[in-house]
Amino acid sequence: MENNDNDILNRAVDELKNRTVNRDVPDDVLKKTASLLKASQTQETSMFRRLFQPSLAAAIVLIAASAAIYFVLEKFDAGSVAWAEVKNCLQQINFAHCYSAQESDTEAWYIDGVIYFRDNDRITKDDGKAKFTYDLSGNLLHEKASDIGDTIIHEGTALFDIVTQGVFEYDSNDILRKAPVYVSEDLLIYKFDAPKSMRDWASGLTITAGRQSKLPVYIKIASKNPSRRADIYIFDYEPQELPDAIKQISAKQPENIK
Amino acid sequence: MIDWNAILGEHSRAVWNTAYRLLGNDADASDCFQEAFAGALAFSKKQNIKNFRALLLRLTTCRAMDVLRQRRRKITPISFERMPDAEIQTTDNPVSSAQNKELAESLLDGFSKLEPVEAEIFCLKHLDNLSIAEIAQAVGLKENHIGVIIHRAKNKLKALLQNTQI
Repeated sequence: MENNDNDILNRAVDELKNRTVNRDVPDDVLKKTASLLKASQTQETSMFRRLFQPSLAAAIVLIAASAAIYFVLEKFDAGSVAWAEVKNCLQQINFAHCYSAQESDTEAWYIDGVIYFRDNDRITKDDGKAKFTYDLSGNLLHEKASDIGDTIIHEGTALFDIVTQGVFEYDSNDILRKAPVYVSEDLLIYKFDAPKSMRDWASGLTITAGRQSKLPVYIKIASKNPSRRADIYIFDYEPQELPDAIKQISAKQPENIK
Repeated sequence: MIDWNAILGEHSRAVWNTAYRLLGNDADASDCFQEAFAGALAFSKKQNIKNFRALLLRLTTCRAMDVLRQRRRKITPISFERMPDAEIQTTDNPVSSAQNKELAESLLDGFSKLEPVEAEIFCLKHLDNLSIAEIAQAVGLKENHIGVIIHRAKNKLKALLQNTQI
């Protein structure tokens, strides 16, 4: 029996191990990595922000599933706003804009359940089913499964669980025990450990929300590296004129990859 | 100053192979590849790197395991069956069969069910052929501890694979 178990494992390992990819690393991946590594040597900045887009993506997902925030806040009885009032606010949210306080080349929009994310010369559109990547002219470059799909469209699971466990990979019991570290007349401030996906480089995450609106105002992601400034993402909820590329992409159906 | 171009040239193939072997598609492997080098760069700012290959393979494996676990949660596995045959070279082994392919898929699924450190160390040892000493150095644990983790991972994987055979 033991030998049989070993044999099965060995066969599985051998099969996987012997799968060698014939093709070289794609040129564009090599070039992009090389240029980012080079840039990072002359500039102490944006390698992380470019490569670890998930920080901004995760921030906008928090807004997309802002019920999670309401849910968290409701648990803490931190304000005097009636839950019914909060719930009304939640149901009205169909637009959010999130951008970095330090960098102008990355920003994200949540519009009627779809997330648009701009990073330099690329725009991604994630509708919860698939994630489409376009160039600035609106040409579809590639398509893959949604990063945040279940967060928005999954049924039967509480949004709070999906966001905390699915996106940030928190244990919901830990989150539920959290209380605001600061409550003022205007603001509620919550501190969280770094999500697992950011744990290599981030020490923690602070969410500041309006006490009345219960909407996040900004999210600060603190770095473990003391010489690196914290990433700060600012949110606004006022529908606004969108960049042309976003308008163009949002208006059309995905076509063939070019 | 670290010559990152040289490091990229020397280790890109191994990193790509590890990422692609575990993830099975260009998009995920590309993300994983870039994040591994970004992680190594961040690491190099905090301390000296003695073995770039081991560190890069560890970072690649870690990230790939995260993706495998995400896929499992979303129940949208991306199978090697979807990779064009021309891109995959299998050994010319007569025993290699559809059954072995299924076993390999089950093994990938099994990785996502292990403790992250168990899956990571198992892959580094058995797929990337790093020595116990290299793994211990890369993950910052003692060699004895690595041995225990590998043993534990093996037992869990054997049980998981056995279950898929029933």
